[in-house]
Amino acid sequence: MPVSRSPRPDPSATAATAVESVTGARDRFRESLREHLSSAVSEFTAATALIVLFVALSLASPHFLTADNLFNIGSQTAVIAIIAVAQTMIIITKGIDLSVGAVAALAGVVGAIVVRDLGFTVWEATAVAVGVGASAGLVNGLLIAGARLPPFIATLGMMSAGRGLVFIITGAVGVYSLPESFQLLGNGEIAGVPFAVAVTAAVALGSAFLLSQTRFGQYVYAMGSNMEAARRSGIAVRRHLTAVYVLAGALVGLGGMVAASRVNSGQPNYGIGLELDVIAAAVIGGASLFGGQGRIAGTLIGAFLIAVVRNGSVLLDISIHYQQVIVGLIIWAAVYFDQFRRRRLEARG
Amino acid sequence: MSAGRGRTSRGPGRGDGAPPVLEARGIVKRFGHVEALRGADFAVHRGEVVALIGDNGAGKSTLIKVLSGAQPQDGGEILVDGRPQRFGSPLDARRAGVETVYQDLAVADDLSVAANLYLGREIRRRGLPGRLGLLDKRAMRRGAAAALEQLGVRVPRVTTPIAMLSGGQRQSVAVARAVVWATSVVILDEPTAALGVVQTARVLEVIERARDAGRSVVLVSHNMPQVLEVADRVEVMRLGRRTARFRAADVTTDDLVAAMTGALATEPEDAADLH
Amino acid sequence: MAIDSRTRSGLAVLAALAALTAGACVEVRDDSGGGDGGTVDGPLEIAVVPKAVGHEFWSTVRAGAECAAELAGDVTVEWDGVSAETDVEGQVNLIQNFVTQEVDGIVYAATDAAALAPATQHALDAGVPVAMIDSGTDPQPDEVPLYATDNRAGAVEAANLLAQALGEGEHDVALIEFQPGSQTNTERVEGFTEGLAQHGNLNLVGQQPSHSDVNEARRVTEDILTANPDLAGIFAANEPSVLGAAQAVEAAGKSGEVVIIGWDAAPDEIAGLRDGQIAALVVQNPFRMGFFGVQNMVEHLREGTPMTSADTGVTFVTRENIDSEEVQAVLEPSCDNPPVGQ
Ligand SMILES: Nc1ncnc2c1ncn2[C@@H]1O[C@H](COP(=O)(O)OP(=O)(O)OP(=O)(O)O)[C@@H](O)[C@H]1O
Ligand SMILES: [Mg+2]
Repeated sequence: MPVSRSPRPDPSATAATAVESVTGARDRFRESLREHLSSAVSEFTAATALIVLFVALSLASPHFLTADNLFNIGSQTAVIAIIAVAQTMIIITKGIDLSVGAVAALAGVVGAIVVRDLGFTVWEATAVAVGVGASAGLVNGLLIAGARLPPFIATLGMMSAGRGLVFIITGAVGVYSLPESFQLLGNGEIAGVPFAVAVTAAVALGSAFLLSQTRFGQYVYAMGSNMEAARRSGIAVRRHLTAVYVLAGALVGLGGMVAASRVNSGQPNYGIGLELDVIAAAVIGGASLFGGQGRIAGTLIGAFLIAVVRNGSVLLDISIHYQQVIVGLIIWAAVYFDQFRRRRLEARG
Repeated sequence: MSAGRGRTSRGPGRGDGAPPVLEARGIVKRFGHVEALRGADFAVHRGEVVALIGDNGAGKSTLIKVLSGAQPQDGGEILVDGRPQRFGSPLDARRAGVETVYQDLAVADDLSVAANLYLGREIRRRGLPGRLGLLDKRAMRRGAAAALEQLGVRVPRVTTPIAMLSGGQRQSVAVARAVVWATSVVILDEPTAALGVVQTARVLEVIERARDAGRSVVLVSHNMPQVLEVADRVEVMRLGRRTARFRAADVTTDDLVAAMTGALATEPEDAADLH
Repeated sequence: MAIDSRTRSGLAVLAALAALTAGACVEVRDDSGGGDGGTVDGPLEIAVVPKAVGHEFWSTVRAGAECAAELAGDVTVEWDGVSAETDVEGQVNLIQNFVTQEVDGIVYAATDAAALAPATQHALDAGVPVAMIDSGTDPQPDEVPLYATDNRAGAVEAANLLAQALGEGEHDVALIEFQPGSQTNTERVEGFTEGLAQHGNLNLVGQQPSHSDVNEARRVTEDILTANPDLAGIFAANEPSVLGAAQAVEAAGKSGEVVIIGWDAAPDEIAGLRDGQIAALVVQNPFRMGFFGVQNMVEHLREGTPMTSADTGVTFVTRENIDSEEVQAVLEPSCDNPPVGQ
């Protein structure tokens, strides 16, 4: 660091630091504890809710805590979790992606069509689906970072245009008559673990690593925190912001392919309303719509929380209407606790 | 607080006819119909502290954003060591060794102190992981802690998010970031505005130390005693132009106030017949 | 300037998107009628609006409508629909737009009985006659006919089929409905529960909606199977619900063990029936809906014949009868041999 060019020690500063280190050691320890807790509080709140729900459902239904049911919950959460990870990255940049449902459907039907009509393998089709998602993400990114449209508007357009493309491509009917092998991604297993769960885990770990350990991740948070500061710090914000949307789009494409594979067909109506589920998952997990905050671990917990509420409701045969109310309450509670925590931290001496 | 002006050397190149290390000539900058800069001139030589003063809205911050590449100018030119250069982006200014503390700070609130100090020039791991973009967070924490200690800036920890710091602490971090990285010129736009007495004294010390290390400092301030204490020269802006220049040793607070209000001008008439 | 070129490239992308969207409209609005008629009243333009585009069922309705138009001659079918059945307001707007366009008649399926009633009235007030297919409005004016399946009767029969397949003894059964709140859904749910009441040995242990999404149908069925390991039968009330239910049953390794009675006849449902995953399908005659709608509308417009409602009927398809000529005419409708005789 260039400062070493002036290595002259400053007596007054050193003295002050020494005094502080004696009187403030305890404060500092408390401070550090608080910081570590604060970054994990959102996850902590959501995780606690998840555990409470687990215990309650285990007591309420003998079928909840069974290997089969956990296996099912895992597979059922996979798609929403993958897409919620994508949404989280975008939310951290202070953006939002309303087009995830439409793009997932687009990727799914294109993946199904290339298998049915062109004889692609499921892996090739997955690559195509990821490419479709990334292309949609690129368009979103160029509109937002290049043409400076607000993310809400840019992705609203993509939501409509993408869904329209799905209908054009499919003629508005589902893509059926797919070979058994198409189901591998959504219904296969490796070593007793659903393939979809393994894919989700890989996506989550990779994204968490990217966000927390790499320069790119650092820039994602910096852009969401203060776009102008990032720009003045010499970060190529347009390129990086576009890259975030491309990456997120690729993940959405992957998620759409897993969804299609799971039901062995390309569904033109897939994913209507999905954007709200994944935004809810991210927000419950502590992501802030004001940008700069959010972590993959929290989002995963949020996604599981929603999935477990739905699973438990069906096990207990609770009507869909109550399920929706419950998810709404969870969103309120999660964000309320999150803001409560932040206010308390800000109010500190 | 030591009286820096008498104590320090003027640094090399000062007064020997060498071109200014950073110079602005006839800068024009418009925001829609507002003409914030109307042919502004400015110069700073190697190893000198220049105070840039002027009334609110005179165009100081705008000139500084031009000089740091944050807002490219509409007309006029920028010279580095006497050679014209285009500052199309903050990176261009940074490559010329110019670092800036903006009046609106420009820190990322959600990032830690260390991450802010290294924003845009993160230390990466060695070898392949580094080329893949992996950060060496430990090195950055250590470097940040060392730099802050050396500059006498106290924050709870370098991992604390900026949002959790006090206004003065944030400002200190922003100053530290600029001073630490500048190889040629440090520009400070009202760096002591939010600071207490002790912190202000520290910033002024930091400015002197930077000058002693051979760097030039541009200081924007509304505090006249402070300006006279720390600066070698003073340039005065009024209505988007430079209207007066003084050596700090030869001038009083009253002269500066007169220059800022337009009662006193040292620049050629074309500047004076503006109003 | 940099900013200008950026704006320009942004505009170019927008323009490309707009072009694509325009392309979509052109494709969806298919003009299939010819211009070679020679009828007294000149060419007719009839709007046909499904609940939503995106399912096999509505494509068959469209085929029936276009078949009737072709046979009548000099009739153009304007086919357009919203993309989700839940987009009630979108459909209201669509109907209003067709009235504004001054089409000669509107044939449509209401996404919501109450919400679309004013839209129908608005059309009639503007002098555009209306015929309903599949789902009517409430209230429905006297001069507006409904060509639809008697959903309630079909669902009662589905309960009977389920009872028959399960035989004697106590059995747990589940119901996968699709869109709570929609008229058709309500009729099928009520019909099925009414039918169940006739069979005291069948217990309804789970009832969840799929929202016409295969993924969701699969998910809720998986969970119902988890909660009820002894589940013996499922009635799934529309195409996505059936597909998702069959996949969940198969994933649980219970294909053939759990009796599935489905509704509709998408290719994968037929395949499931042949494989033994699905015991029986209640198959409507969407072709006949589209056909009757347009045929009666044309007669009304050209000859002033008043339109009267008709049940378009259901067919119960099983592995045994699937290859019979009669069933095939319903399953693979074509304009050469339209399944409309009665
Ligand atoms: N982004 C902007 N858009 C429009 N007008 C601007 C913008 N930035 C500055 N201005 C205008 O330019 C003029 C100069 O502003 P500037 O911030 O440079 O003044 P200043 O000398 O730094 O004042 P202060 O002492 O209050 O910081 C003002 O009239 C201001 O309104
Ligand atoms: Mg200013």
